[in-house]
Order: sequence, then structure tokens, then C-alpha cells
Amino acid sequence: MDEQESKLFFDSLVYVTDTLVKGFDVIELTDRMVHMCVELFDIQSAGIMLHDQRESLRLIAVSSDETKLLELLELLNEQGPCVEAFSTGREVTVEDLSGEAERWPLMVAEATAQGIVGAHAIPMRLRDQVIGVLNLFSEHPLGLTLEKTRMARVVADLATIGILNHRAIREQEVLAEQLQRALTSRVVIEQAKGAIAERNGVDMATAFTMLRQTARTLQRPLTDVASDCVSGVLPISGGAPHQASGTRQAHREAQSQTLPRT
Amino acid sequence: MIELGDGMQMLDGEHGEPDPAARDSLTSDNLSASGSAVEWLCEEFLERSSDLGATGVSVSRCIDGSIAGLLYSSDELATKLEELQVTLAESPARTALRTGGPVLVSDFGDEPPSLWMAFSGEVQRLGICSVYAVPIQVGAITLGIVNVYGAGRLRSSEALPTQVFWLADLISSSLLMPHGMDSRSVRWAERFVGEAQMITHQAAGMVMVQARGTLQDAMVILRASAFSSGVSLNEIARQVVSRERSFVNQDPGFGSPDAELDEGSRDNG
Repeated sequence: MDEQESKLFFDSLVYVTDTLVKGFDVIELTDRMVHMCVELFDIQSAGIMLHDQRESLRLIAVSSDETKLLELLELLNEQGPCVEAFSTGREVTVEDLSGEAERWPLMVAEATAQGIVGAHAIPMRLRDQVIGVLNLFSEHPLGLTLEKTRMARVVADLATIGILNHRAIREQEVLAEQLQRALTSRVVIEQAKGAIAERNGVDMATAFTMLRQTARTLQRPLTDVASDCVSGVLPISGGAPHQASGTRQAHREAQSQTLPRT
Repeated sequence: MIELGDGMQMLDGEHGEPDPAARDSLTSDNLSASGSAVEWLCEEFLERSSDLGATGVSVSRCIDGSIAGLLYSSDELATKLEELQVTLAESPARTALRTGGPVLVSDFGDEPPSLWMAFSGEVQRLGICSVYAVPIQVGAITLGIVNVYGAGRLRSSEALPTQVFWLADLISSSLLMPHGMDSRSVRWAERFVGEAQMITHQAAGMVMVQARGTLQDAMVILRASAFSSGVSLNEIARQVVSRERSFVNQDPGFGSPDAELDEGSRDNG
């Protein structure tokens, strides 16, 4: 790992531990984690899926707002490395997805159409229970070094701790409650993005940026701001629309907006 | 996974699509004599949940975040419990709505005296030991609240939240039913529960603004549109997000599947 990556990883660890102590918004935290993955592992995209306490894995965070990526992640609920990691509790690494076309036809077809070649799925665990999966996607054959694999596990663990609010969760119901709240928060964010996008004539990525900036300015949790936006209490508008982009430059820009100045 | 009885089954997420035959077989004949989807769902739930310790259920509607009217109650005790949740300043239901998440009290006798003091005393006098208050919500849309109570402890297991969340999801689908549709079509309602993806929630936000209504209106509009177009809810959502379809100036009260849809020609005009 080079110096820049080292600094990024360390800064992110500081950010996460800071927020765990001071209080945080689960969507902001998981959003930060997936963007960090894209930076650290030199990959195209990352997404976190969470078990919804019924029978599905649901999206809780994704590194880009492109609709097609969202659709791929929804497919992961049915087939692919994500489901396998979830049900076995073990990491699943696929260097080249084309080799798995027979096993996971729909998922591989969709991934290939998006230029995704490699995938890595890391289960998010609480003791002996898997609550979700961190997914990494690359546009070249995925070969994570041992060091990076370990870092990926750290990120998955941090996301787990963050989502569960680092409580010593012994009661099943409390676990269910935390996961339910996290997924509900995500839905509120999406509803708010839609409203902002429509009001301002911008795309979803820009809408999310506007939402995050408002929350930062007001020093309020992201989900609360989103909720107020949807109810009409807090209309969010203004700001020049940015280019929607999944490039690493855009990620750096997004990161620099959210990184605390150290 | 919940068995509906009479051989009907919940949507199997693994296979994706519901069985059309099963869907068509769900008619008012299969529902209880009362003819209400919410009532039927709750009765089915209670029948299956005795091993969880659930003795009774009540469901209330919410308007603007406040409890506003009883939709269903399994018995007198449930009705009294619901009244307490509304009339007292603090209760598990109020906390659940305020914090946007489920609240379980597995034994009121165990709770510290300060928490829900008045409520706790009253509830124990009624012979109720535990309450599980679960909001019926779709993100920022709060439709109501389900209260499951137990004469004994409600067991905190994996099954309890799973079963009650399923019930809440199905009730929310039922409450977001477009006009003119068979309001007792639980099977169709369940399609929504299993299907809504993030893109659908984005579309709801957009349609809320386009139709100048509430998020709830937006969800109903989207579902009506899906039904009358014969496509999935998520497909309609995709069209909305990609701006192929718009509901600008759509009457928020719209919901009849027979009405002609103006598919975006108005805003492109």
C-alpha cells in the first residue's frame, strides 16, 4: 500500500471512530465506506447489501448512482457471489466473472454488460450471524493482495459496527430493530433524492450531493434532513448541477467534500 | 416465509415472479367474512404466532405522524391497549413512531419505573405483559402502527421481528392500494412488498413533486400505473427516473386502472 492509500485508510479510520463516538447517520457512514473502497482497492464500484429480516438482501449503500449499477445490485439478491457469501458466511472472490456464466447467468450477463469483470464479496458478521455483504466490483480481473483483502475485511467490520451502532447486541430483536432502521433510512434518502432531483431538474447523484451538503451545513443527520425535505419542511434547492460520473476523479472530489480536514 | 393456507404461498424471492394461478386464486372467497384485508392479515398472523407469545394484535392508522383511528383489533383487550397508546403522553407506539423504528417491551414488569410509567401501570392492570410496536412505513411514509401484545413475554427471537415486519409490509401494501382495485387483493399487495427497489423510492419522490401531492399519493399513482400498464412497479419507476414517463399535473386522487394515462406527452408537449 502506498503512502497516499495509507493516509486515506487512516483518515477514514479516524473519521469512522470519530463518528462512532460522537453520533452519526448510518447512511452517511456506509456511503463513506463504499467510496473509500473504490479509492483504496482501485475498483469500479462497491455496494453494501443488508439482510432485511424477511427474505431478501437490500441495498444500503452504493458508490455510484447509475441506475444500471443499482439494477445489478438488486440482482445480487438472487444469484452471484453476494448471495453465496451471505449464505456460507465466507468471502467469495471471482477474478473473472465470465467463468461463472453458467452458474450465475443473469448476474454475469448484467455485470458483463456493465464492463464488470471481477467481484469480491465479504460477509458482514456479528458473531455467528451474517447481517449483510460488502461487494466490490472491478473492470479488470480482480486480484486483491493479501494486505488489501485484510483491509477489505476491516471495512466490512467497520460498516457492521456502524450499522449496529456498536451496541453489544445480545437480543435478536434489537439486531432486527437496528437493521430495520438502517434500511428505512436508506428508503427515506432515496425518496428525498427523487424529490430534489425533480424540483431542481438534476440527476440523482447531484441530488444526493445537495442533500449531503445541506446536512453538513445544518450540522444535522442526513436522514433527518432527508425526512424534512420530503415532508416539505425543508425544501432543498440551488447549486449548479454537476456531471454525473463514476470516475475515480469524481470519487476523489466527493471524498474531499466529506473528509474532515485533518 | 409465510404460508397463507389453502396452498397459497408468499412470493418466493428466489424465483422472482409470483405464480399467476396462485395470484388469481386469491379472491374475496378466501378472505374472512368481514371482507377486510387488514383484518384477514392480522387473523392469519395471530394463528401462526402463538409460539411467539402473541396473544392479540391491533392496527392503527397514522396521519401526519400521529395515531388517528383504529383499523383493526383482535379483541377488547387490544382495543383498550390501543386507546392507552393514544391517550397517554408516552407509550411504546408513540416512541416507535417518533423514532421511526420498532419498539419491543418484552416484560413491563422488568422495565425501569420511569419508562412509560403511566402506560406500564395501566397495561399491567389489564393483564398484558409485553408489547411490540412496529411502525407501518415505507421510508418517510408512515401509514400506521401495528401493536402485538402478549399476556406473557414476547419471545425475542429471529421469528418475532420477521413475522411482524411481514405483517406491517403487507398492511402497508394494502393501505397503498389504488382506487378501483380489489382492495382485498392481498396477493397483488404482496407483489409490491417483494418488489419495491430503490429506484421505486426515487420515482416516488419525483412523482410527489410532479403531482403536487404526498409521497403516499405518489406510491398509489405508481402502483395504479403499473397495474393498468401491465408492467412491474419497478419498471414504471425506471421510466419515471429516466424521464420517459411523467405525472406532472396528475391528479393525486387518480388511481383508477381504467382511466387513460397520459404518458408523458403533457410535459413534453
